[in-house]
Amino acid sequence: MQNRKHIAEFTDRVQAHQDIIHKVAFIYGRVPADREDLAQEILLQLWRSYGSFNGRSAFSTWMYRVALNTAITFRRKQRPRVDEAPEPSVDAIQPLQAELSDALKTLYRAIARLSAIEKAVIMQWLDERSYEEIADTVGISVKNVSVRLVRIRKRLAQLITEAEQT
Amino acid sequence: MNDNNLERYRAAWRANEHFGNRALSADEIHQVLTRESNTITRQFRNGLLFDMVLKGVAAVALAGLLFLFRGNATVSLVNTVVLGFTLFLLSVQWKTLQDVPRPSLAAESLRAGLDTMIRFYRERFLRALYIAAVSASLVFYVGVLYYSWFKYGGIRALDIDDFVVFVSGLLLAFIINAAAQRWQAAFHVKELEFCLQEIDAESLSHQQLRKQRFRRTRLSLMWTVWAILGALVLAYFIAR
Repeated sequence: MQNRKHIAEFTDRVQAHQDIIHKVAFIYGRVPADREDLAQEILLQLWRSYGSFNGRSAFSTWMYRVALNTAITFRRKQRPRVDEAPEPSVDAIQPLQAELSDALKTLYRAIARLSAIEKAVIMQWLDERSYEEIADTVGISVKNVSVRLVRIRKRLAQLITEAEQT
Repeated sequence: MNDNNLERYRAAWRANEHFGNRALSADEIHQVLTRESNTITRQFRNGLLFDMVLKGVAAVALAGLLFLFRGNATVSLVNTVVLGFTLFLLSVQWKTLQDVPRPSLAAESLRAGLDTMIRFYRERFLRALYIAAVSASLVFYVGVLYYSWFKYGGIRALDIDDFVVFVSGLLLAFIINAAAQRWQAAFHVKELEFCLQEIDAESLSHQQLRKQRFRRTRLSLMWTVWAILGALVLAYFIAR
């Protein structure tokens, strides 16, 4: 009974913030199968770590932390990943064509060329998370977040311009 | 492009919830909760268990060889030593299995999480893979002795060529197995270390990115060389 209540509470919370899972899988997965594997792994890790959620930070911050940790340390089959990615393959973009806006597709192509840590920082900025939350998730100082964001935003803008031209 | 234009993309990001995926229903979430994880520690546990089973089978086969070669004192002595060594390695692996850490992905920042994973690789994974690589030599040893038994009814007199081939086979089996796993693990560790360095560094050097790409190319080349070497060794044994 207690366990069922626990699962129901977890499910409600995850459903309310499931966009985080989709976003992290979208950015770190290179092909649809990768994204699906990663989304499931994130969900599983959230469940296994749920007992350690103590409410000191917002649930969404905690969820971001678990999701990004999983995405970065997750070892995919036969595919290197966490450094700067090349231009995403046709396979990776094609399934997105029908469902996503042009702006989002361009953004995806640009973010795919950032490093794993740059992705983690910029995703949270895109989601309008506070510098404190980003610092807490990544493990750096608030000042460092501010410095990095200036640089990453500049680079992202440059990559978007390149993506728009192709 | 300035930050105002970047805001347009930020708005597109914020407006999308599922990024081409379906919304997860409660049922789908419940189904995933019962699945097996695919984290590196889970893969490590599974790999370790598989290798223990393989060593267990080799130990049983060695016991069979002790019976078959009971009339040959030298071979029996060697087999006893190899069997004892196998059982010792099994006991070390059993202890390692009990100690496999379960790094928490929740309580830690990305920085702390990466640190935990790198330590796990350095302290457990690399040591354990050498023990696992011994299995390849064990299988080779057991295979050669059974082959000798069924082909010649015992060990025929060995000349220097036979001895060289036998020892080379034992060493190659170990080296190829250990090196392949070592390089693969080292590659993953380097990637994790690269992320950790990036978190610690004020800015990401493009030279580091070039180095990372170079490492990846080098790894692919090494795999190709090992595959060709493996094929040549196999061809040599088939041709004999």
